[in-house]
Amino acid sequence: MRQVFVAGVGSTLFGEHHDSSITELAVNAVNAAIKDAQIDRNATGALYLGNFVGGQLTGQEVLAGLVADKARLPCVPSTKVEGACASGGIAFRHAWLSVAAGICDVAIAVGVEKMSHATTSQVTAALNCAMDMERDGASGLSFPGLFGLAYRMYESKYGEVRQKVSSVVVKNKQNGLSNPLAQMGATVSAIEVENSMLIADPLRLFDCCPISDGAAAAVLTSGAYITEHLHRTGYELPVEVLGSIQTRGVPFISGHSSLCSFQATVEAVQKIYDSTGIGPKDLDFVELHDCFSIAEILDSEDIGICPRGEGAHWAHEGRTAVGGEIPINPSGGLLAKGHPVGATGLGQVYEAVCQLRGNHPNQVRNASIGLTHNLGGTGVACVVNLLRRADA
Amino acid sequence: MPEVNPLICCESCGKLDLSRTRWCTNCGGESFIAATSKGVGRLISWTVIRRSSAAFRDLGVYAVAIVDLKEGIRLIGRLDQHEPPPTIGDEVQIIKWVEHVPIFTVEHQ
Repeated sequence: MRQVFVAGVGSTLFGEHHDSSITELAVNAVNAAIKDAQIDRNATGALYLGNFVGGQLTGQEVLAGLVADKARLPCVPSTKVEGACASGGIAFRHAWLSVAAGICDVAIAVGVEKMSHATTSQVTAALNCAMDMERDGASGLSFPGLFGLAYRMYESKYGEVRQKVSSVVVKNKQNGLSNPLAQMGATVSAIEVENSMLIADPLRLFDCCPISDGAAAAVLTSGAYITEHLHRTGYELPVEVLGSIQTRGVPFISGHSSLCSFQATVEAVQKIYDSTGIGPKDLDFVELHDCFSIAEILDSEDIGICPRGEGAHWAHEGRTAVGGEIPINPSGGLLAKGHPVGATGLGQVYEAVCQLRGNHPNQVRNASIGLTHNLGGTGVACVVNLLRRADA
Repeated sequence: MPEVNPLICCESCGKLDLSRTRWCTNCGGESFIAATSKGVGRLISWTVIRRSSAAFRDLGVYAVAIVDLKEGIRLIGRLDQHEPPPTIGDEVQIIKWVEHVPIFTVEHQ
């Protein structure tokens, strides 16, 4: 496998884009990433596009080909990938594979979703398709419901954590407030979180990420290409992709021995730590899949940032704040930045690259290694990426 | 007519599963027979769905539960009611199946 670099990233605002079509959102992100990378778009050898519910909510398919055409990319293989909320991460990994395997020197990954024009009921029905509809979906369970079930299992194992779980929301909302791309940054108190309306007991409104539109993209290149390219343009050092791992977990809820952990995450981080020799203690920050407040706690334990049962305490004690020992979701995460489902995995890469370049609005001091974590469905798909500042 | 119990069990190892399964998750066996179950189990977790998709709107506000049956299968279904709130570990009983979904009632002491 060849060394792979992220030469450029681009993103739309995450939020409501009533005047842009789903393809326009994706094209805007791709164009921003190409401009950021300062590459010739004709050098592109492949495009991977992550999207989950575009067909259902916008009635538009063949997004990869449409976006490639509108972005004036050459007629190269353009592929849409779907893995529920991990679709963006999977697109990134496939672009990485294309370059790492030597198929091409430049590959573009883009993720996009457009959801805010639909009713909450329509969005809920569309997202529910990420469950096994025979085993789980038939019960009437929703995704907030899945994490409501997880929350109660976590409390039954480790004791009452409401106040500490609220700390995750308070932190991420505050981080989102200073991220110009974020949809729902805010200064909120734990009391406000605990008084917001119940959605899926014990989860409340502020425990849930918003419904979002948005797109994010990354340009991945080989080391040979970037060397020549840097020589030509003399722009800032790119970010190296140390590893990109995708795993497949159990696709239905009863297959998990506990909802306090997702095997797909545990296996993905184990593989990336083993293959790179980098461990959780070496990470300077993490952008992880906090679709719900409790998810950040489960993920932080699965990733090995903190011991089992300690995730909520760590958040409450400020150890995962921007200035803490291991900042989690300095972007505001899905809870505050938003969750345009197919775009989320690439939105995380965008945030990580900004951190590693040292120009993030919530900059982590001396950030040189960051991990992104993107989880799909009821734990059926996971992608983790390990990124490093190239001069580190 | 009430819906029949859709559970099956692996002919080789006896593990229970749902009828739409193609292979036994325990031993890999591919042959199944109809299973008998008393429908008694323990509540593993539960939540109340207050925002559902249109397909479930007729149910209003309803509780979804994870239950481990005594015969060794984990099921996702609904509680017939969630007031008073049940406690994890409570004994539950399947009272009926609706479109392959088990409906549980909490056996209050």
